[in-house]
Amino acid sequence: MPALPLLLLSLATALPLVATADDHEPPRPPLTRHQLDAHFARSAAAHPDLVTRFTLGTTLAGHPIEGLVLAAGEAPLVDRAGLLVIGGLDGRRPGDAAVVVALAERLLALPADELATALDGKALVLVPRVNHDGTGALLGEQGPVHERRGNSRSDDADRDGRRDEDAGNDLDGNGVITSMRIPDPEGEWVLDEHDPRALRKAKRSEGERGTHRVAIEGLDDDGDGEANEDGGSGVALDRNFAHGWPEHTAEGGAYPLSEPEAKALAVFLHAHPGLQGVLVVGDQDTLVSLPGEAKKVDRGGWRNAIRSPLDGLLKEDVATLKEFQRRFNDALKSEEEDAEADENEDDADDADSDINAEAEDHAEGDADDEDGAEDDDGEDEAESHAEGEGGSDDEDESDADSEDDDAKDSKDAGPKKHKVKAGSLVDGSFLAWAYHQEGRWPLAVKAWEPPTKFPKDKDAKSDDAKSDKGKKGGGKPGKQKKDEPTNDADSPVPAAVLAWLDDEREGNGFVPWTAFDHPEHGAVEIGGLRPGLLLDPPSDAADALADRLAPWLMDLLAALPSVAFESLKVERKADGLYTLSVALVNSGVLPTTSKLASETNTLRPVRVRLHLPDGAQRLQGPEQVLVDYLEGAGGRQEMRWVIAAPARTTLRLSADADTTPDVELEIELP
Amino acid sequence: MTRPLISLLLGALALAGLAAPASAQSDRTPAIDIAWNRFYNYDGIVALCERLASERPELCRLEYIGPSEEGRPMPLLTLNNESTGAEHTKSAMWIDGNIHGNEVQGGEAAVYAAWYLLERYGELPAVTELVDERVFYILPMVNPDGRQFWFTDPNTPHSSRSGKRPTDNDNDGLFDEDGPDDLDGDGELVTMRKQVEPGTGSYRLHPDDPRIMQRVPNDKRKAWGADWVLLGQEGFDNDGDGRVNEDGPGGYDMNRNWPAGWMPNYIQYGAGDWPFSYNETAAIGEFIAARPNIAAVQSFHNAGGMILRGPGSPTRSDFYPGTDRQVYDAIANDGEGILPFYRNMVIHADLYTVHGGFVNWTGEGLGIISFTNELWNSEQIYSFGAEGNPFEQGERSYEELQHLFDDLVMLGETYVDWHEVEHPDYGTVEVGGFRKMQGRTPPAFMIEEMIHRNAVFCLFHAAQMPKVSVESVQVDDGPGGSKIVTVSFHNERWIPTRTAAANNKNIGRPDIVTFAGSGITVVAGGPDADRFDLADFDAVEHEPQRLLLDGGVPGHGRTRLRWIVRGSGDFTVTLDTQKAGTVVASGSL
Repeated sequence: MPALPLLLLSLATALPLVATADDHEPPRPPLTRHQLDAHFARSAAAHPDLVTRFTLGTTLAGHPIEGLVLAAGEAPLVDRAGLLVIGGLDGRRPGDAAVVVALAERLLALPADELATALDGKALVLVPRVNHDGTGALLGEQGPVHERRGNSRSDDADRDGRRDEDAGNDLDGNGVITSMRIPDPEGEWVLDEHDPRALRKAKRSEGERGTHRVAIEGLDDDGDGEANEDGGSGVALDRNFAHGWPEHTAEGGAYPLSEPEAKALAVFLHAHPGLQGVLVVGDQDTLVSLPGEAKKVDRGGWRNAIRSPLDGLLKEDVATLKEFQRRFNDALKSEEEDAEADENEDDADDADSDINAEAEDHAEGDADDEDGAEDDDGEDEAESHAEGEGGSDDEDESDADSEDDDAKDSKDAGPKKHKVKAGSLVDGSFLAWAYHQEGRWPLAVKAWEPPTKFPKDKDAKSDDAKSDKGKKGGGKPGKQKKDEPTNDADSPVPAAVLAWLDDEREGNGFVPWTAFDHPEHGAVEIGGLRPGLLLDPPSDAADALADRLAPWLMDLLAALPSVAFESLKVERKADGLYTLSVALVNSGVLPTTSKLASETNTLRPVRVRLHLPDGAQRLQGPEQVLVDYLEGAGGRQEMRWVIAAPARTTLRLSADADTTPDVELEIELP
Repeated sequence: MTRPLISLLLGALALAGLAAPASAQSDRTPAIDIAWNRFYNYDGIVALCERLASERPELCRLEYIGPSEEGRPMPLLTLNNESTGAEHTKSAMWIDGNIHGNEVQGGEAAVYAAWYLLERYGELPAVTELVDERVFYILPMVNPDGRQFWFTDPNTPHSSRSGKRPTDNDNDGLFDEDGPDDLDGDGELVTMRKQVEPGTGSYRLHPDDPRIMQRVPNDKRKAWGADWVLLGQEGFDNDGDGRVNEDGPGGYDMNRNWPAGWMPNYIQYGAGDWPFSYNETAAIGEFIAARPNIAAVQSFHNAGGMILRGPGSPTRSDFYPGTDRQVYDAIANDGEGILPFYRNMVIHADLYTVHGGFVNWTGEGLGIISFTNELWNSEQIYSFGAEGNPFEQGERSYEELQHLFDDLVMLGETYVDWHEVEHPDYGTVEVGGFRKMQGRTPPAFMIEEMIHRNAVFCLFHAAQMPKVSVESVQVDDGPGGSKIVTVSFHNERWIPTRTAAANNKNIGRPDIVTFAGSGITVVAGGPDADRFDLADFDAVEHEPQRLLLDGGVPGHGRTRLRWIVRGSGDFTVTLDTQKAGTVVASGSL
């Protein structure tokens, strides 16, 4: 592969962010629809030959879902090979859009001729935010600032015949719905001795009794004894897709693609088979943690076809994903070299120690990982995990994360009900659907991990604190030292998070506890973490990820499959009788489709046809050959014919597919 | 077990006798005269629907949903007597047919159900009760494109099952480019056979009847001189890919396109891109989802003589709890009596696995008691009299019976005799076989019986939708000047106001019982009140004046609620259900 362009950190975008004086504003206000719109307009105006604005669809509340198409040349989008980048499926993760926007800006900052070459006949489609309705809650567009995972679908979550009648209430009138800590000897929490603003779980096994319980700021509006139990989370768009769809759950919706946002996304991807990979910026990560192989592939029938949904990827596809991952990490290395080169001017950070600490932590995480699929490549894993701001320790954890968020919607953190198998794509998600039912490469990055885990090494922690890049720690709870802030991911207000906010955010994001006389509970305190805080990547995390994604995506565009006819051999066997043989060869790095797409006919194979003029006739060999799954870097399929035709007849071979450029070969018989 | 059907019909007859109907059965002249001994194409069914709606506008409304993939509006009849209440206040039944384009008789059966209700309204008390107390949503043609194509174009009994959205079945980038071909242009799509050198074929002609092909076992082919091969359905290789008839019109199955255990096309053939991906299924889904009062579903298919319920896959058995299965069996067991030659069956266990079927969605996704009937059983075509069921004799093949039936009962109407045709790929071949009207559909003279029996099976099902009334209102003196109010609601039919499936899967909302009375304070309240022990009931902690009944009012059962109140004056107790309207009890302290 050609050397990748090295991106300078100094290219980091200056988004038109509005600073506010409010102490309790989030560290960085999320991009508004207006700001996204301005970004689209600027990009399109600055690059009229490369950038087209487009509208994917409309949210349930009526907001357009917009994005950018980056493409060079005249071909319509439907005929192009390329990749789709999606952000902002979860309303509580507005920062995902910032990653996609920053990515677009980095790509468009590349030299125009380089871009035009890379995008010739190809396309990158970028949709920064799908869930405008949900994010609107965090933006304060729907009353007090609150978290809303899904779209604006109303629901009767508690099945009492009333819809959305008992949401949180902004009792203290500060414009934000936070938490209440309620003195309660039956509660499971105690004030943390490291930081009395924080809470940790009472050690009941050691005889310690809880002193508080924690609830969402609000009232029992409908008087049914449950507070905030029907607050309207909408349908979680990233659980509204048909692979492993969570049936009969509020998050999953009434049926797969019941929500207009999810439907628009599905219709678009389905109609553009050339977009052979999807990159989702959200709560999954397949570039750091490779999804595992299907443990069991149930095959049968006369074609030995797959007969039931897979719980993992086909092994050929895992191998290809590993190559995506390797390139993703190469992009990091380029960035590191770049950062080191810049270190004198930009006294930023000690990327190396940061990364090493990460690598250790990840190695630990892997040891705990029961999923065998990842265990046989320890070396690659260590390397793959050697990164600063990427993703999770393992799938279990990234998932536990979203469960926690669910739990926060109800009064008490109940048992985690959303089960996800380690190493598989999350059931009901766009990503899982895109792979399992549309055959596309399932690429996903998580912009950051909330700092609920505190570094096990105090020094690394302080390095972290100074670093622009280290947003997270990684130590396991068991490794915690006595004097460290509590490392409790379940806590609604972990001391570790407060320490991080103090160190790096000047305390922004924590709303101080203030006394409140609650009509139902008496004296309580209202405060805690600002909605969205633990999910939303900070702007520097978004920038750092975009730095890495931009060269990687350029690399991927160049790696897309590309077929050609090679090894043509025409022999005259007798007067007017010829044999013709040729091979179709894939010179791209990626296979012509995923193995799954090929096995399940979800993307069509390369179709090779022999076109004969009048007077010529096939004596042997097919009129058309459907070529399934050519591996990258020289995967080939031979084909041959016997033809009766006059000398000097011109024949034509054509190959067409959705994932590679069409090619033709003219052959003049001797 | 008592047979509610019997009692229902006896009651109806007794009342009919008293009312001295204007016409006896035999010479009754229909008010809306429709020929039920024939099938109708799309336009014909539309015309019937328009006629019913125009003849009985006070009871029947026609609307069109869709349109279909090819743009045909889909007629939908709503039967409701507005003067007895709006639609949403009553239990409703959904009836449809013909989701598979070739399974045409479901269309006539659905229209017949509407016709029978309208024609006999005011005459037969059982019918009058259904029309006055229930709502019917009747969609005769789920797949109007497939239906029309089946009638107008050359087809077999089995072809045109699909809708007509062009589909690339062979994954070559071309759509519907290689379907069957009517080689001789006679309007029939039959079978191709070709004579070959003796010993090189796989069939021989039946010694007694050369119309019949006999398969010769591999080891006897040389010895018996097998000299025929079968070449499949009439057609040739239109797209030159070496395969014949591999990408015909449409090429999918709308009865695999519903969001209950839906699986993608590579696991479940014909599933479509995602649930509700076709115009027809999307329109129906939207209509049904907007009507939570639908408490019964019937879908008409052909053939085989089956009364089918879900699940379509063994992995979904948990959607059919015991109390629901009891309801299914109560209806289907009487159904076997109403429908001779039909059997009560479970889709996955007795037929085959179906992912994403329509009644699976209504049953498992919406919690509605739902049946699919496979109309017409070929066992009815030819009898051996005292010898019994010809299939059990083991002497004659089904094909031989078909010929006897065609020769002696249909006088040759349903068979095309073998005749030579030139084939572009195979040279001279013979084409012949049974026409599309034989095999899955009854002959004209048997249509009316088939659709009447299936329609009245629906009416029986409809009669089993919950019918709730106030059984008793009782006020007792409690200690300390309190009063104890006990109200019992009784459901006199099989289907509960909320099925166990709905309750288990959190589908829809529970029934809500509200106690109201000015001047009365509710101190406590709850369901499951004991009949004798006034202190025994499940007092709720919050909102005793508004009780939620997760299980609703059970079939042929009651729910008894109790309140401890203080004060005086009149009170009402209102049972508000999604599937059986609202019932109000009243009393006074």
